[in-house]
Amino acid sequence: MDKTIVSDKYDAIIIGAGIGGLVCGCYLANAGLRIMLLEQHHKPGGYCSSFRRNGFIFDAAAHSLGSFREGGHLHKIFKDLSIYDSVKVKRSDPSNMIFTPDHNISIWNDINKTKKELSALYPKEKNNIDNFFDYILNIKGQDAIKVRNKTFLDVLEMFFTDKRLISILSIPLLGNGGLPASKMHAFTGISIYSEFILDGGYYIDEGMQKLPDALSKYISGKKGTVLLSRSVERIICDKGSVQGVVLNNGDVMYSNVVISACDAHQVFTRLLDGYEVSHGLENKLIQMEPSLSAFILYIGLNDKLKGALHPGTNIWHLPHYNIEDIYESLSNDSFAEQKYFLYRISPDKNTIQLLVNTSYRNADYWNENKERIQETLINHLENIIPDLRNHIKHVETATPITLAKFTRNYRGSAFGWAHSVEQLFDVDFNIRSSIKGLYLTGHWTAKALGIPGVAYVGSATAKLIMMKDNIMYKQTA
Amino acid sequence: MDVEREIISIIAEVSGFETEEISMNSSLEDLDIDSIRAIEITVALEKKFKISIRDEDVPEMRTVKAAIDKVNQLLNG
Repeated sequence: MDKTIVSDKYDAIIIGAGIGGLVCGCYLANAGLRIMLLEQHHKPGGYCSSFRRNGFIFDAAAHSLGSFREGGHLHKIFKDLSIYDSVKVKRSDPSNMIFTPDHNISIWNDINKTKKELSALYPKEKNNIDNFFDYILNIKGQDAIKVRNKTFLDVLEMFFTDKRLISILSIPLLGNGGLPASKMHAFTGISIYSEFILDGGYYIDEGMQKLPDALSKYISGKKGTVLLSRSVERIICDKGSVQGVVLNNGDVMYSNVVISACDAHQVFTRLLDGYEVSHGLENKLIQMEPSLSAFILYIGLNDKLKGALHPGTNIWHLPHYNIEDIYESLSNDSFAEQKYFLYRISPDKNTIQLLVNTSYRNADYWNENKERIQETLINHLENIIPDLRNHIKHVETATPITLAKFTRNYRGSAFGWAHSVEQLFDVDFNIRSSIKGLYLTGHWTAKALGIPGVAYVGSATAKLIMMKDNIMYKQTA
Repeated sequence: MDVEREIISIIAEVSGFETEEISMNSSLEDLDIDSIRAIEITVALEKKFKISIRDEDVPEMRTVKAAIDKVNQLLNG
C-alpha cells in the first residue's frame, strides 16, 4: 500500500461518484472551483453504471430515466452542462406496462392516451382518472399543504374507490421507491408519478454508463479531478468543522468543504474523525429505516426474441391486487415465488434485466438461495416469454450483497432512506449537516429519489455551496 | 426548550443559511425558501414540537417571527 502522504488543498472534496456527486461536481467545477471527486469503485456511476460480460452490455441497476421533458430536472442539467452530444437519450413508448391478472395496462408518452386506456377499463372512474392526473401534474399551494403528513394511499383514496385500480396505480411506487402506497409519503408518490412514470421511459443509447462517463469528463475538463478506486477512510474534523479526508492508501487531502455523496449512515457512524455525533442523531441512525435493496437478474440472449415483447418498456408483473401482501413478502424467504417483479428487454433485444426489490440478508443466505431464486424468476419470465430458456446465452445475478459491495450503500439500499411519512422530511439528513463544511447530497439526503432526484439534489447542493461562498451561480448558455 | 432557537435552527437546516444570518424579521423569501421547502419547515416544526398546525395557517407563516408566534401559540394554547 502506498503510504505517501500528499497534502493537497481543494475548494471542495466530494465522496462518491454516483449521479448526485457527479452532478454536484460538474456545477462546482463549472463555477471555477478546484474540486476532487473520490470514488471507491473502478468506474463512476454508482447505481447508474453498466458492465460488459460475454459480449453483452448490462445496465447494473438503473436502466431508464425520467424527468427529461423540457424543463424537467434532468433535461435542465443536460442543457446546463451541454452533454447532449456525448449522451444520446432515446425514449420508449409505452414507458411502462403493468401486467395485472385481468389486463395489460400501458403508460404512454401521451398522457391522454393513458387516461383513455385506463378509463376504458374502469369506466366508472373516468372523471377520477382525469382529476388524479391533473392533480399529480399541477399540485401546489394548499393542495400540497394538505397532504404534507399523508401517504400516497391517502391521495389515491381522495380520487378512487375501485380497489383494483388503486392497487394498479400503487405498483410503480413499490418498484421505484420500495414502499407500498400505504407507507410512502404523498410527496414522494407524486414525484414518482410526475418524474418517472408520466415523464419516464428515457434511456441512454449504448448503456447508462455513458452518463457518468460524460459527467466525469466534464469535471476533468475543468479544474476538477475524478479519482477512481480511492476510498475515503476518514473525514477529518476539528472543532466542529471539516478539514479534509484520509484515503485508504494513507493519502490526506484538505478542504473546508466535504460533500458526502455516499451512504450517510457510514459517514455518521464510521467516517467522522474528531467529531462526536449527538445522542439524538446516534439514536436516529439506529431507528431510521433504509429503503429495500434489490435482487437483479441479467440475461444475455443468443438470438433476437420474436413477437410483441415491448423492448425498452418497463414491465411490472402484478400477480394479484394485494399490494400489502406483496410488500410483506419482499422481506421474507418467498419473495421470488410470489411473482411480483419488474423486467425490461433492452431496446436492441440482446438482454433482459429483471428486478425484484428485497431486503438485505447476510452473504450466507444469498449463497444458499441465490440459484434457487434465479431459477424461480426465470421460470416466471418463461411464462410470459415462451421458450426463453432456449435463448439464454448468459445469466448472472446481483443480490443485495453485490449492491452493497459495489456501491457501499447501507444494507444495499436501492433508494437511500425509506421515503415513509415518518422519515421524509428529517432535518438531520438535509443538504447542510450539523458539521460546518460537511454537506450531504445524493439519495441519503432524505428527499432525493432516483436519478432525476439525485441529479436535482446534486445541483441544489452545488448552488447552496456557491451561494454561501458568494460564488456567482454561473449558468451556461 | 428554547423555542426560538430551535425554530431558527430548523430554518437554518432547511435553507442552508447559518443561524446567525437568520433574524426574527427574516422572511422565508429572503432565505430563498420556496413553497415546498416552507412545507418542509412546517412538517419539521410539527414533528419537533409535537403540534399540529392547521392547513390554512401554513401560508400565513411567511416570516421567522410568524413561525415562532404560531408555535408558541400552539404550545401555550
